[in-house]
Amino acid sequence: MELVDEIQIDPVKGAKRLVAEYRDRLFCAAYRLCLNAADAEDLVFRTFRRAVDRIGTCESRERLFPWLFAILVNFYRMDLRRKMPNMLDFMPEVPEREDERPDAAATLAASEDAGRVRAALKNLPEPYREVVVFRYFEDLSVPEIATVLALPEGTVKSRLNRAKFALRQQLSGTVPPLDASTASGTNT
Amino acid sequence: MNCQQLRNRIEDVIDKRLTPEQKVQVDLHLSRCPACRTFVAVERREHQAWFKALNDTSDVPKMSDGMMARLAREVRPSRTAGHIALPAWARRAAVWLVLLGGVAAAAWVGSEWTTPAPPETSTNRGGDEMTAGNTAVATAMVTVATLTAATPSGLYREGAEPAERAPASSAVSVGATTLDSRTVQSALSAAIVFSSDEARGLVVIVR
Repeated sequence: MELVDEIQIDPVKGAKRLVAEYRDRLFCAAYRLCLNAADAEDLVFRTFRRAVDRIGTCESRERLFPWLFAILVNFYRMDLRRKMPNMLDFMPEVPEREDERPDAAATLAASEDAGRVRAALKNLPEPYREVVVFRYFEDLSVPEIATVLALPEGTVKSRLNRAKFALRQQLSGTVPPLDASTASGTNT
Repeated sequence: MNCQQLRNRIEDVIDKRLTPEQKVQVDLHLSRCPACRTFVAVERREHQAWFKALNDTSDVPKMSDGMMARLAREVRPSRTAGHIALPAWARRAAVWLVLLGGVAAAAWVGSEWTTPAPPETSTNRGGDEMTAGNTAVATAMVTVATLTAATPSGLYREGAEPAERAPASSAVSVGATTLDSRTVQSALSAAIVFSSDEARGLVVIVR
């Protein structure tokens, strides 16, 4: 029986199965997002509580994870707005000129080191991190991310483009790690 | 296709989400442009490396035992008592049956009062008709409200968060199932048409 049906027919048993199937992966995604085990646990808990109540609204029956992750990201954003109201406004510009971009060979070499990639991700400000996690953790396409986050595809593409640029900057050592709290400038 | 167009479409190229026509154009451009061939190759390797890095969970701590226990204990629908596990169409049919039953009962009671009656009761006949009809409709509304309340999460509209609201923004959920808003609105409108003040009060409660 499909998990969505099971939760609707036998909510207690279905909820247990939902947790068993998605707990570890959701926790890992949450940890990649908030970089803190305690916060990640709290996000996962709230996400499952919300999910079992609203399972009827889930349309992607075959792929529950993106739906669950979208709920988690919403909680994450709410927490973030409370802590840092201006956090979501910061957006760096990607330079148009090729020679202003990070060196591709250096970036690629650094990309092979998983630890360095994760360190670069940690320094990535929001809302880049969530797009990167969707794209590279869950391997969602741009249209899928747009659907899950309820954003226009163009916005997702733009954010992803800037996120990749910021990651490359850090991986190639072009700039010190980005820090949204000290950065200036806004964009959408 | 030129270099800029190809670069704008790089995520689709990596994901192989191109239409046959687009694929022909991309292949044609790549066969003529060494810079874009390098660009695509670098992007592909980068994508694979970042995917591997993020999915390597060696740095992710284990979830605490306390949270594992809490998840097992507390993750369940907010209310399970009285939950009726019916498919959506059956819930919808049940709501309509109850409403129609209420209306039919009101009509029947009303017709009973319109039959010839002794003069001493006919003085208050109009008012009693209304009261009897309204009582029946009110009973129907109480039943609807009870059905609604008996489901696990009650009646609610989707929350304010866009990602959750998007899939079902035009629907109203009743427990684990969904009634489309038109059905609910029609039901409530019918109730308002037939109802008295107390029935309207119930409509407000259901809303």
